[in-house]
Amino acid sequence: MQLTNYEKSILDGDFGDDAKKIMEVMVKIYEINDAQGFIEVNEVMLASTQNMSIGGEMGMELLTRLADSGIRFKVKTITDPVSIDLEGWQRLGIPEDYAKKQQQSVNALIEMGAVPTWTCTPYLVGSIPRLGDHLAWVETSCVIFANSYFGARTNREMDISALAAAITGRTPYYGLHLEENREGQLLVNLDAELNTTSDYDALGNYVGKIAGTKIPVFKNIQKNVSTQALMQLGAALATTGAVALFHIFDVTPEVVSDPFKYGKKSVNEEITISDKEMKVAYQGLNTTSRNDIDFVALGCPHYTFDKIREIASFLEGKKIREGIEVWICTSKTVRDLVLRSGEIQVIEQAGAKVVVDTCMVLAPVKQMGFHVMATDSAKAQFYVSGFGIGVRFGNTQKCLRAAMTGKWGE
Amino acid sequence: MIYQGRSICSGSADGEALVTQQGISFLGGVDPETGMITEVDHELYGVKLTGKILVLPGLKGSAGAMWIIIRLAARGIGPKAVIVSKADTILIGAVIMGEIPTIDSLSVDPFKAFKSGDWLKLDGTEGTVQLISSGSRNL
Repeated sequence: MQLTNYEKSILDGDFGDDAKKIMEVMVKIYEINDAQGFIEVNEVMLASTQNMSIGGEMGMELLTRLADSGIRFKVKTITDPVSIDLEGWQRLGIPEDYAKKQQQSVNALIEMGAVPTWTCTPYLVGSIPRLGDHLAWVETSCVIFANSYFGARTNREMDISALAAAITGRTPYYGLHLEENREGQLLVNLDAELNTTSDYDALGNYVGKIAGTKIPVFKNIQKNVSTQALMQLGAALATTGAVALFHIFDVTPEVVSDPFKYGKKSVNEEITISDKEMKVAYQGLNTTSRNDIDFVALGCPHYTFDKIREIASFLEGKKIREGIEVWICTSKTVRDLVLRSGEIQVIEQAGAKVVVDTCMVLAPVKQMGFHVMATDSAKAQFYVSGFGIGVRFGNTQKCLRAAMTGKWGE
Repeated sequence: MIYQGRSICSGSADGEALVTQQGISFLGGVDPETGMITEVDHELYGVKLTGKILVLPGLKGSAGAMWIIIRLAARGIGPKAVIVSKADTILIGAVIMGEIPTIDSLSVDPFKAFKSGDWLKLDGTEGTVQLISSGSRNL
Protein backbone atom coordinates (compact mmCIF):
# COMPACT_ATOMS: atom_id res chain seq x y z
CA MET A 1 0.00 0.00 0.00
CA GLN A 2 1.56 3.29 -1.10
CA LEU A 3 0.49 6.15 1.17
CA THR A 4 1.42 9.78 0.49
CA ASN A 5 3.38 11.76 3.07
CA TYR A 6 0.20 13.69 3.88
CA GLU A 7 -1.74 10.46 4.47
CA LYS A 8 1.10 9.12 6.63
CA SER A 9 1.11 12.26 8.72
CA ILE A 10 -2.64 11.96 9.31
CA LEU A 11 -2.13 8.32 10.28
CA ASP A 12 0.59 9.46 12.72
CA GLY A 13 -1.96 11.67 14.45
CA ASP A 14 -0.76 15.07 13.18
CA PHE A 15 -4.37 16.15 12.58
CA GLY A 16 -5.78 14.65 15.75
CA ASP A 17 -7.40 11.43 16.79
CA ASP A 18 -10.52 11.65 14.58
CA ALA A 19 -8.63 12.08 11.32
CA LYS A 20 -6.24 9.32 12.39
CA LYS A 21 -9.14 6.91 12.90
CA ILE A 22 -10.69 7.90 9.58
CA MET A 23 -7.37 7.01 7.89
CA GLU A 24 -7.25 3.71 9.79
CA VAL A 25 -10.68 2.88 8.37
CA MET A 26 -9.45 3.62 4.84
CA VAL A 27 -6.37 1.40 5.33
CA LYS A 28 -8.47 -1.44 6.73
CA ILE A 29 -10.97 -1.25 3.86
CA TYR A 30 -8.05 -1.36 1.44
CA GLU A 31 -6.65 -4.51 3.12
CA ILE A 32 -9.94 -6.35 3.53
CA ASN A 33 -10.90 -5.82 -0.11
CA ASP A 34 -7.44 -6.60 -1.45
CA ALA A 35 -7.49 -3.28 -3.32
CA GLN A 36 -5.35 -2.81 -6.43
CA GLY A 37 -3.86 0.48 -5.25
CA PHE A 38 -5.70 3.76 -4.86
CA ILE A 39 -7.71 5.64 -7.49
CA GLU A 40 -8.19 9.42 -7.55
CA VAL A 41 -11.82 10.48 -7.31
CA ASN A 42 -13.46 13.43 -9.09
CA GLU A 43 -16.09 13.95 -6.45
CA VAL A 44 -17.10 12.82 -2.98
CA MET A 45 -20.57 12.80 -1.44
CA LEU A 46 -21.12 12.83 2.32
CA ALA A 47 -24.25 11.74 4.19
CA SER A 48 -25.53 10.67 7.62
CA THR A 49 -22.80 12.10 9.88
CA GLN A 50 -24.26 15.57 9.47
CA ASN A 51 -27.87 14.48 10.07
CA MET A 52 -29.21 15.21 13.53
CA SER A 53 -31.43 12.15 13.04
CA ILE A 54 -28.56 9.71 12.29
CA GLY A 55 -25.15 11.05 13.31
CA GLY A 56 -26.83 13.04 16.07
CA GLU A 57 -24.76 15.19 18.40
CA MET A 58 -21.78 12.84 18.06
CA GLY A 59 -21.71 13.37 14.31
CA MET A 60 -21.96 17.12 14.84
CA GLU A 61 -19.08 17.07 17.33
CA LEU A 62 -16.92 14.94 15.04
CA LEU A 63 -17.37 17.33 12.11
CA THR A 64 -16.66 20.34 14.34
CA ARG A 65 -13.46 18.79 15.72
CA LEU A 66 -12.28 17.88 12.21
CA ALA A 67 -12.86 21.42 10.96
CA ASP A 68 -11.04 22.83 14.04
CA SER A 69 -8.08 20.48 13.51
CA GLY A 70 -7.40 22.14 10.17
CA ILE A 71 -8.72 19.38 7.90
CA ARG A 72 -9.81 20.70 4.49
CA PHE A 73 -11.32 18.66 1.66
CA LYS A 74 -9.00 17.93 -1.24
CA VAL A 75 -11.69 17.30 -3.88
CA LYS A 76 -15.16 18.60 -4.63
CA THR A 77 -17.36 17.26 -1.82
CA ILE A 78 -21.13 17.49 -2.05
CA THR A 79 -23.64 16.96 0.73
CA ASP A 80 -26.76 14.86 1.25
CA PRO A 81 -29.81 16.48 2.93
CA VAL A 82 -29.83 17.32 6.64
CA SER A 83 -32.66 17.00 9.17
CA ILE A 84 -34.18 20.49 8.75
CA ASP A 85 -35.14 22.95 6.03
CA LEU A 86 -32.26 25.34 6.72
CA GLU A 87 -34.31 28.46 6.09
CA GLY A 88 -37.87 27.24 6.62
CA TRP A 89 -37.49 24.99 9.71
CA GLN A 90 -39.75 27.18 11.82
CA ARG A 91 -42.76 26.82 9.57
CA LEU A 92 -42.28 23.03 9.68
CA GLY A 93 -42.51 23.13 13.48
CA ILE A 94 -38.95 21.89 14.15
CA PRO A 95 -37.67 22.84 17.65
CA GLU A 96 -35.13 25.69 17.76
CA ASP A 97 -32.55 23.77 19.80
CA TYR A 98 -32.58 20.96 17.21
CA ALA A 99 -32.24 23.43 14.35
CA LYS A 100 -29.29 25.20 16.01
CA LYS A 101 -27.37 21.95 16.47
CA GLN A 102 -28.09 21.00 12.87
CA GLN A 103 -26.72 24.36 11.73
CA GLN A 104 -23.43 23.63 13.52
CA SER A 105 -22.75 20.50 11.39
CA VAL A 106 -23.60 22.52 8.30
CA ASN A 107 -21.11 25.24 9.27
CA ALA A 108 -18.35 22.72 9.97
CA LEU A 109 -18.78 21.05 6.57
CA ILE A 110 -18.75 24.39 4.76
CA GLU A 111 -15.61 25.37 6.68
CA MET A 112 -13.88 22.21 5.41
CA GLY A 113 -14.82 23.17 1.86
CA ALA A 114 -17.98 21.15 1.19
CA VAL A 115 -20.45 22.34 -1.44
CA PRO A 116 -23.69 23.10 0.45
CA THR A 117 -25.97 21.16 -1.88
CA TRP A 118 -27.98 19.38 0.89
CA THR A 119 -29.72 17.20 -1.66
CA CYS A 120 -29.96 13.54 -2.62
CA THR A 121 -30.25 14.51 -6.30
CA PRO A 122 -26.96 16.43 -6.72
CA TYR A 123 -26.92 15.47 -10.41
CA LEU A 124 -29.78 17.96 -10.87
CA VAL A 125 -27.72 20.79 -9.43
CA GLY A 126 -24.33 20.55 -11.03
CA SER A 127 -22.83 17.16 -10.19
CA ILE A 128 -22.77 15.58 -13.62
CA PRO A 129 -20.36 12.67 -13.70
CA ARG A 130 -19.12 11.32 -17.02
CA LEU A 131 -18.91 7.73 -18.23
CA GLY A 132 -16.02 6.06 -16.38
CA ASP A 133 -15.48 8.85 -13.81
CA HIS A 134 -14.43 7.61 -10.36
CA LEU A 135 -16.44 8.90 -7.39
CA ALA A 136 -16.86 8.15 -3.68
CA TRP A 137 -20.55 8.72 -3.02
CA VAL A 138 -22.55 7.59 -0.01
CA GLU A 139 -26.30 7.98 -0.27
CA THR A 140 -27.60 4.78 -1.83
CA SER A 141 -29.99 6.31 -4.39
CA CYS A 142 -27.18 8.59 -5.61
CA VAL A 143 -24.69 5.75 -5.81
CA ILE A 144 -26.97 3.64 -7.98
CA PHE A 145 -27.91 6.63 -10.16
CA ALA A 146 -24.28 7.63 -10.74
CA ASN A 147 -23.27 4.07 -11.63
CA SER A 148 -26.29 3.28 -13.81
CA TYR A 149 -27.50 6.49 -15.48
CA PHE A 150 -24.10 8.07 -16.02
CA GLY A 151 -21.88 4.99 -16.09
CA ALA A 152 -19.64 6.59 -13.46
CA ARG A 153 -17.94 4.33 -10.92
CA THR A 154 -18.48 4.36 -7.18
CA ASN A 155 -18.79 1.75 -4.47
CA ARG A 156 -21.52 2.04 -1.86
CA GLU A 157 -19.43 4.12 0.49
CA MET A 158 -20.31 4.97 4.07
CA ASP A 159 -19.63 8.29 5.79
CA ILE A 160 -16.22 7.50 7.19
CA SER A 161 -14.76 5.99 4.00
CA ALA A 162 -16.20 8.97 2.09
CA LEU A 163 -14.67 11.41 4.58
CA ALA A 164 -11.33 9.63 3.99
CA ALA A 165 -11.79 10.15 0.24
CA ALA A 166 -12.69 13.82 0.77
CA ILE A 167 -9.58 14.35 2.89
CA THR A 168 -7.14 12.42 0.66
CA GLY A 169 -8.74 12.82 -2.78
CA ARG A 170 -8.61 9.08 -3.42
CA THR A 171 -10.19 5.77 -2.57
CA PRO A 172 -9.11 2.10 -2.55
CA TYR A 173 -9.36 0.66 -6.07
CA TYR A 174 -11.73 -2.33 -5.81
CA GLY A 175 -15.34 -3.36 -6.38
CA LEU A 176 -17.35 -1.25 -8.83
CA HIS A 177 -14.30 0.83 -9.78
CA LEU A 178 -13.15 -2.22 -11.74
CA GLU A 179 -14.71 -2.89 -15.13
CA GLU A 180 -14.99 -6.66 -14.59
CA ASN A 181 -17.33 -6.16 -11.62
CA ARG A 182 -19.92 -4.15 -13.57
CA GLU A 183 -21.50 -6.78 -15.82
CA GLY A 184 -25.21 -7.59 -15.50
CA GLN A 185 -26.13 -10.74 -13.58
CA LEU A 186 -29.92 -10.87 -13.25
CA LEU A 187 -32.00 -10.41 -16.42
CA VAL A 188 -35.38 -8.78 -15.71
CA ASN A 189 -37.91 -9.16 -18.53
CA LEU A 190 -40.58 -6.51 -18.18
CA ASP A 191 -44.00 -7.75 -19.28
CA ALA A 192 -46.14 -5.01 -17.72
CA GLU A 193 -47.05 -1.49 -18.80
CA LEU A 194 -45.50 1.17 -16.56
CA ASN A 195 -47.39 4.46 -16.56
CA THR A 196 -46.51 6.53 -13.50
CA THR A 197 -43.20 7.18 -11.76
CA SER A 198 -44.55 5.14 -8.81
CA ASP A 199 -44.78 2.12 -11.10
CA TYR A 200 -40.98 2.34 -11.29
CA ASP A 201 -40.84 2.49 -7.48
CA ALA A 202 -42.92 -0.69 -7.26
CA LEU A 203 -40.76 -2.40 -9.89
CA GLY A 204 -37.55 -1.48 -8.05
CA ASN A 205 -39.01 -2.56 -4.73
CA TYR A 206 -39.92 -6.00 -6.11
CA VAL A 207 -36.71 -6.60 -8.06
CA GLY A 208 -34.45 -5.34 -5.23
CA LYS A 209 -35.65 -8.14 -2.97
CA ILE A 210 -34.70 -10.75 -5.57
CA ALA A 211 -31.48 -9.10 -6.70
CA GLY A 212 -29.80 -8.76 -3.26
CA THR A 213 -26.28 -7.78 -4.29
CA LYS A 214 -26.66 -8.81 -7.95
CA ILE A 215 -26.61 -6.36 -10.87
CA PRO A 216 -30.00 -6.38 -12.66
CA VAL A 217 -30.37 -5.82 -16.42
CA PHE A 218 -33.83 -4.67 -17.51
CA LYS A 219 -35.34 -5.55 -20.87
CA ASN A 220 -38.37 -3.80 -22.46
CA ILE A 221 -38.31 -0.53 -20.53
CA GLN A 222 -39.30 2.17 -23.01
CA LYS A 223 -36.45 4.16 -24.45
CA ASN A 224 -37.98 7.54 -23.61
CA VAL A 225 -38.42 6.72 -19.91
CA SER A 226 -38.19 9.92 -17.80
CA THR A 227 -35.22 10.78 -15.62
CA GLN A 228 -37.57 11.01 -12.63
CA ALA A 229 -38.77 7.44 -13.27
CA LEU A 230 -35.17 6.18 -13.31
CA MET A 231 -34.45 8.05 -10.07
CA GLN A 232 -37.41 6.24 -8.48
CA LEU A 233 -36.34 2.85 -9.87
CA GLY A 234 -32.81 3.22 -8.53
CA ALA A 235 -33.83 4.48 -5.09
CA ALA A 236 -36.26 1.57 -4.68
CA LEU A 237 -33.74 -1.07 -5.87
CA ALA A 238 -31.13 0.27 -3.43
CA THR A 239 -33.61 0.11 -0.56
CA THR A 240 -34.81 -3.50 -0.67
CA GLY A 241 -31.55 -4.77 -2.16
CA ALA A 242 -27.90 -3.85 -1.73
CA VAL A 243 -28.00 -2.96 -5.43
CA ALA A 244 -25.49 -0.31 -6.53
CA LEU A 245 -25.81 -0.63 -10.32
CA PHE A 246 -28.44 -1.61 -12.88
CA HIS A 247 -28.47 -1.64 -16.66
CA ILE A 248 -31.40 -1.06 -19.04
CA PHE A 249 -31.12 -2.24 -22.65
CA ASP A 250 -31.20 0.71 -25.07
CA VAL A 251 -31.15 3.22 -22.21
CA THR A 252 -28.16 3.18 -19.84
CA PRO A 253 -24.71 3.92 -21.31
CA GLU A 254 -22.65 0.85 -20.48
CA VAL A 255 -25.12 -1.68 -21.89
CA VAL A 256 -25.78 0.59 -24.88
CA SER A 257 -22.04 0.66 -25.60
CA ASP A 258 -21.67 -3.11 -25.28
CA PRO A 259 -24.96 -5.06 -24.99
CA PHE A 260 -23.23 -8.44 -24.92
CA LYS A 261 -20.63 -7.65 -22.27
CA TYR A 262 -22.92 -5.81 -19.83
CA GLY A 263 -26.25 -7.38 -20.72
CA LYS A 264 -25.67 -11.06 -21.48
CA LYS A 265 -22.20 -12.38 -20.72
CA SER A 266 -22.50 -12.79 -16.93
CA VAL A 267 -26.26 -13.21 -16.65
CA ASN A 268 -27.03 -16.37 -14.67
CA GLU A 269 -30.61 -15.77 -13.57
CA GLU A 270 -33.73 -14.52 -15.33
CA ILE A 271 -37.09 -13.29 -14.04
CA THR A 272 -40.23 -11.84 -15.63
CA ILE A 273 -42.27 -9.03 -14.11
CA SER A 274 -45.90 -9.02 -15.22
CA ASP A 275 -48.98 -7.19 -13.91
CA LYS A 276 -49.28 -9.87 -11.22
CA GLU A 277 -45.86 -9.07 -9.70
CA MET A 278 -46.57 -5.33 -9.94
CA LYS A 279 -49.79 -5.84 -7.97
CA VAL A 280 -47.95 -7.81 -5.29
CA ALA A 281 -45.39 -5.00 -4.99
CA TYR A 282 -48.09 -2.33 -4.58
CA GLN A 283 -49.84 -4.39 -1.91
CA GLY A 284 -46.63 -4.96 0.03
CA LEU A 285 -45.87 -1.24 -0.01
CA ASN A 286 -49.01 -0.38 1.97
CA THR A 287 -48.07 -1.00 5.60
CA THR A 288 -51.26 0.26 7.19
CA SER A 289 -54.94 -0.36 6.61
CA ARG A 290 -55.78 3.06 8.01
CA ASN A 291 -57.24 5.51 5.50
CA ASP A 292 -57.15 8.69 7.61
CA ILE A 293 -54.04 10.38 6.26
CA ASP A 294 -52.47 13.29 8.21
CA PHE A 295 -49.21 13.65 6.27
CA VAL A 296 -48.53 13.51 2.55
CA ALA A 297 -44.82 13.49 1.67
CA LEU A 298 -43.57 13.51 -1.91
CA GLY A 299 -40.13 13.93 -3.43
CA CYS A 300 -37.94 10.99 -2.39
CA PRO A 301 -35.45 11.27 -4.01
CA HIS A 302 -35.66 15.08 -4.25
CA TYR A 303 -37.93 15.97 -7.14
CA THR A 304 -36.96 17.31 -10.55
CA PHE A 305 -38.27 20.59 -11.97
CA ASP A 306 -40.55 18.64 -14.35
CA LYS A 307 -42.19 16.70 -11.57
CA ILE A 308 -42.91 19.81 -9.49
CA ARG A 309 -44.40 21.49 -12.55
CA GLU A 310 -46.64 18.44 -13.01
CA ILE A 311 -47.81 18.75 -9.39
CA ALA A 312 -48.48 22.49 -9.72
CA SER A 313 -50.57 21.86 -12.79
CA PHE A 314 -52.60 19.24 -10.88
CA LEU A 315 -53.07 21.44 -7.80
CA GLU A 316 -54.02 24.62 -9.66
CA GLY A 317 -57.26 25.96 -8.17
CA LYS A 318 -57.55 23.07 -5.70
CA LYS A 319 -57.28 23.09 -1.88
CA ILE A 320 -55.49 20.75 0.52
CA ARG A 321 -57.79 19.74 3.37
CA GLU A 322 -57.34 21.66 6.63
CA GLY A 323 -55.04 19.89 9.10
CA ILE A 324 -53.18 17.83 6.52
CA GLU A 325 -49.49 18.55 6.14
CA VAL A 326 -48.16 18.20 2.59
CA TRP A 327 -44.42 18.24 1.85
CA ILE A 328 -42.99 18.36 -1.65
CA CYS A 329 -39.28 17.79 -1.16
CA THR A 330 -36.54 19.05 -3.45
CA SER A 331 -33.24 20.92 -3.43
CA LYS A 332 -32.94 24.66 -2.80
CA THR A 333 -31.60 25.11 -6.33
CA VAL A 334 -34.57 23.42 -8.01
CA ARG A 335 -36.91 25.32 -5.68
CA ASP A 336 -35.46 28.64 -6.86
CA LEU A 337 -36.22 27.70 -10.47
CA VAL A 338 -39.78 26.71 -9.66
CA LEU A 339 -40.23 29.90 -7.67
CA ARG A 340 -39.21 31.99 -10.65
CA SER A 341 -41.49 30.12 -13.02
CA GLY A 342 -44.46 30.57 -10.69
CA GLU A 343 -45.29 26.98 -9.73
CA ILE A 344 -44.34 27.41 -6.06
CA GLN A 345 -46.99 30.09 -5.68
CA VAL A 346 -49.64 27.74 -7.11
CA ILE A 347 -48.55 24.88 -4.84
CA GLU A 348 -48.40 26.98 -1.67
CA GLN A 349 -51.74 28.60 -2.46
CA ALA A 350 -53.28 25.13 -2.54
CA GLY A 351 -51.88 24.62 0.98
CA ALA A 352 -48.86 22.37 0.29
CA LYS A 353 -45.27 23.20 1.28
CA VAL A 354 -42.23 22.94 -0.94
CA VAL A 355 -39.58 21.73 1.52
CA VAL A 356 -35.84 21.94 0.81
CA ASP A 357 -32.54 20.65 2.32
CA THR A 358 -34.34 17.78 4.06
CA CYS A 359 -37.11 15.19 3.57
CA MET A 360 -39.59 12.85 5.27
CA VAL A 361 -36.85 10.29 5.95
CA LEU A 362 -34.33 12.64 7.62
CA ALA A 363 -36.51 15.21 9.41
CA PRO A 364 -37.82 14.17 12.87
CA VAL A 365 -41.29 13.29 11.50
CA LYS A 366 -42.15 10.78 14.26
CA GLN A 367 -41.44 13.35 16.99
CA MET A 368 -43.51 15.85 15.02
CA GLY A 369 -46.52 13.66 15.69
CA PHE A 370 -47.62 12.33 12.30
CA HIS A 371 -49.56 9.05 12.33
CA VAL A 372 -50.40 8.02 8.77
CA MET A 373 -48.33 9.14 5.79
CA ALA A 374 -49.08 8.87 2.10
CA THR A 375 -46.17 8.82 -0.34
CA ASP A 376 -45.34 8.05 -3.95
CA SER A 377 -41.86 6.77 -3.06
CA ALA A 378 -41.00 3.15 -2.20
CA LYS A 379 -37.83 4.29 -0.44
CA ALA A 380 -39.70 6.74 1.80
CA GLN A 381 -42.29 4.05 2.45
CA PHE A 382 -39.62 1.67 3.78
CA TYR A 383 -37.77 4.03 6.11
CA VAL A 384 -40.78 5.95 7.44
CA SER A 385 -42.57 2.64 8.19
CA GLY A 386 -39.49 1.76 10.25
CA PHE A 387 -40.10 4.84 12.45
CA GLY A 388 -43.48 3.39 13.41
CA ILE A 389 -45.62 5.60 11.16
CA GLY A 390 -48.29 3.84 9.04
CA VAL A 391 -47.64 4.37 5.34
CA ARG A 392 -49.88 4.36 2.27
CA PHE A 393 -48.11 4.08 -1.08
CA GLY A 394 -49.59 5.08 -4.42
CA ASN A 395 -48.96 7.29 -7.42
CA THR A 396 -48.47 11.05 -7.11
CA GLN A 397 -52.03 12.01 -8.07
CA LYS A 398 -53.51 9.50 -5.66
CA CYS A 399 -51.41 10.98 -2.85
CA LEU A 400 -52.52 14.51 -3.77
CA ARG A 401 -56.18 13.45 -3.87
CA ALA A 402 -55.72 12.01 -0.37
CA ALA A 403 -54.29 15.39 0.66
CA MET A 404 -57.46 17.11 -0.56
CA THR A 405 -59.94 14.69 1.02
CA GLY A 406 -57.98 13.43 4.04
CA LYS A 407 -58.87 9.89 2.97
CA TRP A 408 -56.84 7.30 1.11
CA GLY A 409 -58.97 6.31 -1.87
CA GLU A 410 -59.23 2.76 -3.10
CA MET B 1 -8.64 -23.45 22.92
CA ILE B 2 -7.39 -20.44 20.93
CA TYR B 3 -8.78 -19.71 17.46
CA GLN B 4 -7.05 -17.53 14.90
CA GLY B 5 -8.90 -14.91 12.86
CA ARG B 6 -8.09 -11.59 11.24
CA SER B 7 -7.75 -8.31 13.13
CA ILE B 8 -10.35 -5.68 12.19
CA CYS B 9 -10.05 -3.41 15.23
CA SER B 10 -7.33 -3.74 17.86
CA GLY B 11 -7.85 -3.93 21.61
CA SER B 12 -8.79 -6.78 23.92
CA ALA B 13 -11.87 -7.82 25.87
CA ASP B 14 -13.21 -10.73 27.81
CA GLY B 15 -16.88 -11.36 28.35
CA GLU B 16 -19.95 -13.39 27.67
CA ALA B 17 -20.76 -14.39 24.09
CA LEU B 18 -24.06 -13.42 22.48
CA VAL B 19 -24.41 -15.53 19.33
CA THR B 20 -26.83 -15.08 16.44
CA GLN B 21 -26.80 -16.51 12.95
CA GLN B 22 -29.07 -13.69 11.76
CA GLY B 23 -27.70 -10.37 10.51
CA ILE B 24 -28.52 -7.31 12.63
CA SER B 25 -29.98 -4.07 11.27
CA PHE B 26 -28.74 -1.47 13.76
CA LEU B 27 -30.68 1.46 12.24
CA GLY B 28 -34.26 0.71 13.21
CA GLY B 29 -33.38 -2.72 14.69
CA VAL B 30 -31.49 -1.74 17.86
CA ASP B 31 -32.57 0.91 20.38
CA PRO B 32 -29.69 3.42 20.62
CA GLU B 33 -30.84 4.42 24.12
CA THR B 34 -30.84 0.94 25.68
CA GLY B 35 -28.80 -1.38 23.44
CA MET B 36 -31.80 -3.68 23.10
CA ILE B 37 -32.62 -5.49 19.86
CA THR B 38 -36.01 -4.20 18.72
CA GLU B 39 -36.46 -5.89 15.33
CA VAL B 40 -39.62 -7.92 15.92
CA ASP B 41 -38.67 -10.80 13.61
CA HIS B 42 -35.14 -11.21 15.02
CA GLU B 43 -34.27 -14.28 17.11
CA LEU B 44 -32.63 -11.94 19.66
CA TYR B 45 -35.68 -9.66 19.91
CA GLY B 46 -35.78 -8.04 23.34
CA VAL B 47 -32.18 -9.07 24.20
CA LYS B 48 -29.61 -6.43 25.24
CA LEU B 49 -26.25 -6.57 23.52
CA THR B 50 -24.65 -4.30 26.13
CA GLY B 51 -21.30 -5.63 27.38
CA LYS B 52 -21.50 -8.82 25.33
CA ILE B 53 -19.06 -10.26 22.81
CA LEU B 54 -21.36 -10.24 19.84
CA VAL B 55 -20.95 -13.12 17.37
CA LEU B 56 -22.84 -12.57 14.11
CA PRO B 57 -22.63 -13.24 10.36
CA GLY B 58 -22.76 -9.52 9.43
CA LEU B 59 -24.86 -6.37 9.31
CA LYS B 60 -27.93 -5.82 7.18
CA GLY B 61 -29.91 -2.73 6.13
CA SER B 62 -28.96 0.93 6.00
CA ALA B 63 -25.46 2.40 6.15
CA GLY B 64 -26.81 4.61 8.98
CA ALA B 65 -26.17 1.50 11.14
CA MET B 66 -22.63 2.73 11.53
CA TRP B 67 -23.64 5.74 13.60
CA ILE B 68 -25.93 3.71 15.82
CA ILE B 69 -23.01 1.40 16.71
CA ILE B 70 -20.70 4.38 17.34
CA ARG B 71 -23.32 6.05 19.54
CA LEU B 72 -23.90 2.83 21.53
CA ALA B 73 -20.13 2.51 22.07
CA ALA B 74 -19.77 6.13 23.22
CA ARG B 75 -22.47 5.62 25.86
CA GLY B 76 -20.93 2.37 27.04
CA ILE B 77 -24.01 0.34 26.14
CA GLY B 78 -22.78 -1.34 22.98
CA PRO B 79 -21.12 -4.74 22.55
CA LYS B 80 -17.73 -5.11 24.28
CA ALA B 81 -16.23 -6.86 21.26
CA VAL B 82 -17.39 -8.33 17.94
CA ILE B 83 -16.70 -11.58 16.08
CA VAL B 84 -18.11 -11.40 12.56
CA SER B 85 -17.98 -13.92 9.71
CA LYS B 86 -16.83 -11.29 7.21
CA ALA B 87 -16.53 -7.58 8.07
CA ASP B 88 -18.04 -5.15 5.56
CA THR B 89 -17.26 -1.47 5.02
CA ILE B 90 -19.97 -0.26 7.38
CA LEU B 91 -18.88 -2.50 10.25
CA ILE B 92 -15.21 -1.58 9.75
CA GLY B 93 -16.11 2.12 10.05
CA ALA B 94 -18.27 1.49 13.10
CA VAL B 95 -15.83 -0.58 15.17
CA ILE B 96 -12.75 1.52 14.41
CA MET B 97 -14.53 4.81 15.15
CA GLY B 98 -16.22 3.24 18.20
CA GLU B 99 -13.00 1.48 19.34
CA ILE B 100 -14.65 -1.95 19.63
CA PRO B 101 -12.14 -4.84 19.42
CA THR B 102 -13.23 -6.91 16.42
CA ILE B 103 -12.04 -9.92 14.46
CA ASP B 104 -13.36 -11.75 11.38
CA SER B 105 -12.55 -14.75 9.15
CA LEU B 106 -12.03 -17.20 12.02
CA SER B 107 -10.29 -20.50 11.27
CA VAL B 108 -13.41 -22.30 12.62
CA ASP B 109 -17.12 -21.76 12.10
CA PRO B 110 -17.89 -19.37 15.00
CA PHE B 111 -21.50 -20.60 15.15
CA LYS B 112 -20.27 -24.14 15.87
CA ALA B 113 -17.43 -23.14 18.16
CA PHE B 114 -19.37 -20.72 20.39
CA LYS B 115 -22.79 -20.41 21.93
CA SER B 116 -24.49 -17.66 23.91
CA GLY B 117 -23.31 -17.67 27.50
CA ASP B 118 -19.77 -18.91 26.74
CA TRP B 119 -17.00 -16.84 28.32
CA LEU B 120 -14.55 -15.63 25.66
CA LYS B 121 -11.26 -13.76 25.67
CA LEU B 122 -10.72 -11.80 22.48
CA ASP B 123 -7.53 -10.14 21.28
CA GLY B 124 -8.40 -7.78 18.45
CA THR B 125 -4.79 -6.85 17.82
CA GLU B 126 -3.61 -10.43 17.31
CA GLY B 127 -6.91 -11.45 15.74
CA THR B 128 -7.45 -14.31 18.20
CA VAL B 129 -10.24 -15.54 20.46
CA GLN B 130 -10.06 -18.00 23.32
CA LEU B 131 -12.90 -20.06 24.79
CA ILE B 132 -12.42 -19.71 28.58
CA SER B 133 -15.50 -21.59 29.77
CA SER B 134 -18.68 -23.02 28.33
CA GLY B 135 -21.90 -21.38 29.38
CA SER B 136 -25.56 -22.13 29.10
CA ARG B 137 -27.36 -21.89 25.78
CA ASN B 138 -30.30 -20.22 27.49
CA LEU B 139 -30.27 -16.47 27.37
